[in-house]
Amino acid sequence: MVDWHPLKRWLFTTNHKDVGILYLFTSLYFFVAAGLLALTFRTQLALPSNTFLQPDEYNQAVTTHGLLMLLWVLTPLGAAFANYFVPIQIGARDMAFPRLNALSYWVYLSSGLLALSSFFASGGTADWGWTTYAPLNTVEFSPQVGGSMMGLALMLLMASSIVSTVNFLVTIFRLRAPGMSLMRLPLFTWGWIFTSLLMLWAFPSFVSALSLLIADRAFGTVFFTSPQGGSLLWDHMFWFFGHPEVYVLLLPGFAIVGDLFSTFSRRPLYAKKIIIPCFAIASILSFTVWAHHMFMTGISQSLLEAFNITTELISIPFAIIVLAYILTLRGGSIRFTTPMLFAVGSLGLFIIGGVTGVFNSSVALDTAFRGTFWVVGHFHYTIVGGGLTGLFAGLYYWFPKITGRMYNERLGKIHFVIYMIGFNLLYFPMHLLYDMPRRIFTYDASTGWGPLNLLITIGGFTFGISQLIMFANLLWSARRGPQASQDPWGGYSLEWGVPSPPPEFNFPEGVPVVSATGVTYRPVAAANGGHAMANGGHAYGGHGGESSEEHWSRWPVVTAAGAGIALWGVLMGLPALILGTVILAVSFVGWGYESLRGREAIEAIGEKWPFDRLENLSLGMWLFIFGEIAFFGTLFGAFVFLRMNSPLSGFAWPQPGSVHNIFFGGFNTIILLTSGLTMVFALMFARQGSYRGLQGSLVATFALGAFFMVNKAFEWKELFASGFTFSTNPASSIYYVLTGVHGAHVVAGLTALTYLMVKALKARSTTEAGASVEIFGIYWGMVDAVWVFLFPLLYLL
Amino acid sequence: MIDEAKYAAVYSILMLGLIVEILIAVDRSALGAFADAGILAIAVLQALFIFMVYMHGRYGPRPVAVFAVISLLTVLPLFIALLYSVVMPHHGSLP
Repeated sequence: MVDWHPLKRWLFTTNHKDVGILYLFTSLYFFVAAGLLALTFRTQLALPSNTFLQPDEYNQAVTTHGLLMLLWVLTPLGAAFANYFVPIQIGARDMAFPRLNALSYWVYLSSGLLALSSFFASGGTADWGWTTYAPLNTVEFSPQVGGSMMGLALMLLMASSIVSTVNFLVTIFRLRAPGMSLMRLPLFTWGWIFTSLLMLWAFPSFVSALSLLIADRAFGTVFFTSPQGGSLLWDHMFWFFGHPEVYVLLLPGFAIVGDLFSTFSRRPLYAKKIIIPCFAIASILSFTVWAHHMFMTGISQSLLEAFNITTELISIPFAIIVLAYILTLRGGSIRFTTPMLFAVGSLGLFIIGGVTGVFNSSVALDTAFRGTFWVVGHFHYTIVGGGLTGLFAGLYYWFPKITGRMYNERLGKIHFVIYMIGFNLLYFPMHLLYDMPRRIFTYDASTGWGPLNLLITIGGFTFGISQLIMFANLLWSARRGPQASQDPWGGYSLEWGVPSPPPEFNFPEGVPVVSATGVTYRPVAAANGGHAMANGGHAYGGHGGESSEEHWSRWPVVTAAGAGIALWGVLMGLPALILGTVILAVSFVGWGYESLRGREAIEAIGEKWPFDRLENLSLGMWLFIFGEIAFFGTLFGAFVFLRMNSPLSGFAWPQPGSVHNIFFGGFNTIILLTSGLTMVFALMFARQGSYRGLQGSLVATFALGAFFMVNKAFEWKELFASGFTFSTNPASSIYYVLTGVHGAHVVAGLTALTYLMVKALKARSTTEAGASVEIFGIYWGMVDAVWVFLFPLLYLL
Repeated sequence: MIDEAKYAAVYSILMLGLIVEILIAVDRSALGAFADAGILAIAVLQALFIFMVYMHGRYGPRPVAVFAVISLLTVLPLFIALLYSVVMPHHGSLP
């Protein structure tokens, strides 16, 4: 008889360590796929006038390689370690929202499979380069359905990342063990805080840009095909996400390097109190440097100067961090194990990437280097050298903790040597090709680029082969390697105080209590100031008959599958769309009915600053709304750009009242704002213990929200009938996208309201329903707040 | 009762703001060149009231407000750059 237990475990697990392992394997799978693509186009470029790939194939390989490596490999590989180790490093038993954590993973996998499946669509996948520049991304130049599929896959991935980000921030801010102040957090957790904040504020702007792109491709809107928007609008929206993304890729590996320098030199991290503010400064500055990617687009001289300065400024915090890392080693007893070798190598490669980056910050030099292989060399030294190499250091470092076995040190060092040789053969000569355009699929022998390209390709294969050594070593060692002790490296963070591999709920001895002198373990009630936890006190040790199966949930994987199939169906056919939608609907019902012991047990009992007064769910909702501010803010930015650009490009924006009926819009605004009032009344009645008041208020909110949407549908119908369609002009395009995404938020809210109404009807006390009402009230307030801007922008100005 | 009064007062303010917005839009002569700015200022005030009272309420301690402001600030550079990209000598490719 087949034992389904292991399969069920991996499909249904919500345990953060299992989810971390799933992320690890999946990101490495995409790493191999993206690496193979790189080898194919490097083979094409190895010789002049080569015909190994056709131009379209080359473009598709380069595009998919870039997107996979950046978005499906590097960030998720960091997320793998964050999932596994952040909860342990802060002294928590799991993530704040374990089921959402599992959902993030499955949606990530689903998006990756959707992206890869686009290769098999008619005409192939996206071929516009990872930057997805307009107008290459438009239907005119990339008509293949695979391109749209890649766009939807990116949207799905962004959704997964944003949910994951909220989860991590709530976990780190609310679930730290007693005594685990923010300053006591290991650098990796700090790095992940800033990574998460960057994702929270940068990724929504990419979702905005993708929304416009998909609207252009699917509905014929004119954002990137009209002179009012065009390529410049895409450039701004994309790079506003794209440059913070560089630090999203870099910070996890860079932070691991800091922790490893400390551990392997047996010295505390030098100037940690300066390094952390430097992380913060770099993160803030990362939102002010994106236009250095646009020096050649013809933007104004003032912008060139401003972004030249901010780009040079951002090198300062990194220079300070690098110096602090190096000073950590001074006087230390350094052990050059494989993780340490990779950490040192990572820092060295990053320095080269950083120095060449300063060249690019200069408008004058950038004008010469832009669009050449110099830039390719620079960003690979930064992202692969600083980011991926640091993550590989982490992989070797934490391998004994994850598997309970040691890897083969000799093979690890051989991997390092071949890795470094391959890396530098691959990327350093690219700097010498500063006169070779990066976006060509072949070249003539007379250019003289042939020998260096051949050398680069040899480096690429060497680099690729070195990874086989790592995979062989780690796979073999996971089964046959010698047993690892609890703390083989003498690490200082909490994961080294638990067995290898850690038990189900991390801390079998009780709650870790952190102090200046070390860590002690106390029973839950003692650590909680004498109060037992709501679930009876078994939250940490996993005692009390609690089994891992009680924390399984089937719905994350079902939801992700439904989302993936539905999006695939959007482009490939109605049956798949219906199937995916049905699966999604069933899964949503399932989420509501499921009761997990582990789900509600993740209580905050230790350090919660600065969010002491918020519950986990409230904070989660607020963080989501902070991301929504970036999402709608970017869309409003697009509106302003289109509107201001119109008179300069010969388009007369419709006068207020000429297209939209001001009074009808005003009437709908009254309806939505009234629903906001009934929503706060619902919360008030819940607090007062009034069942009838609560139920009545929720029903009124639902009715008003539904009425708002019916009116909106009626308005759309009228506008379409009058010839004001998606593609009429930029004013119509932005109107439909803004009201469409806002409407989607209202519909999502109505769906949640249905759930709340059922819950309110079944609740044994209004207090029980009140918590959910409170969370939903925050969301509904946001929906109202967005509309109070949309109404004047679309109807009055 | 205090809560009810507070929520109703905010609702009245939101409605009043809406009416004033529409009046300004219908007859711009009163505010002239400041009509658009006036309408946007009212929208900002409305959003602020929703945030402070409907969303903020008892579950909105200071850190939430700080994070909300930071969230707004993150998109500010984009707005400035987009505006500068319009005001600039009109964009086009370099020679």
